[in-house]
Amino acid sequence: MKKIFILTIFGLIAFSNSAKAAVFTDPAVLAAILQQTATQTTEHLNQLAQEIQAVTTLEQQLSSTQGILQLAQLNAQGVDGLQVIANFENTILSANSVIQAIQSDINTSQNLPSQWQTVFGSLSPYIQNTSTAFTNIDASDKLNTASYLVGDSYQKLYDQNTATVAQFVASANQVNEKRCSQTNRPRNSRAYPNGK
Amino acid sequence: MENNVTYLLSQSLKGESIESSNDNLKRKEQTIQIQDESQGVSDFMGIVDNNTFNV
Repeated sequence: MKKIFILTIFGLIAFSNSAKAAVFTDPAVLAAILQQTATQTTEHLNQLAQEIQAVTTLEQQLSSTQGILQLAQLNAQGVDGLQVIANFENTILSANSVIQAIQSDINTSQNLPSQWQTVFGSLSPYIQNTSTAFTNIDASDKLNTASYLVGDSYQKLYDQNTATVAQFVASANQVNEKRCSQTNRPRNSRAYPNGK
Repeated sequence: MENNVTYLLSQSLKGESIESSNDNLKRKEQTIQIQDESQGVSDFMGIVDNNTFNV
């Protein structure tokens, strides 16, 4: 009687906590349950409690995951302050990746910064080289600007020369027309058809 | 004739100046990229210590 009572309670709990409890309507399954001993039933109840605990833990993890998701969404929207978190996560991932790649050269149980110095060396020369490169590029830019201005000034001279030549041609044509009109000779074509 | 040559030379000089400036712009971008990479590695070396893996 006690066994049946416990089984009934177990069946009700299982039915109320899972939609899959409908499988207990299967006569074969129901018969198998009825054949269980009290010890087996206790074990199943313990398993059920563990599963409930697992679901609770999963819910907490899911809540944490949603928090991370919200952080990721805010980060994608460019909220200030979150970039630091993303950078730090990237740093940790980079560290793991680098350590895996150079595992033979790095001992994580010892001081890491000094080991990084051994692996990567000092980066000061590179930073100094970039400063030198910027200085040289700036000098080159100034030279290019001066060259462009020189070319521009020569082009202005060309324009002035062209205007002067055009004036000479116009004057020559006027002189030619006057001479033709004074001698009653038919006017010839322009003396200087081209202006350049 | 000399005027035309002057014009062509001035155009050539201006064109080369612009191309050289564009090359300098590319060099600047490459230099900035190298600088950022060096700075990133430097920051990495400063940040990542043994405590990082306990996070």
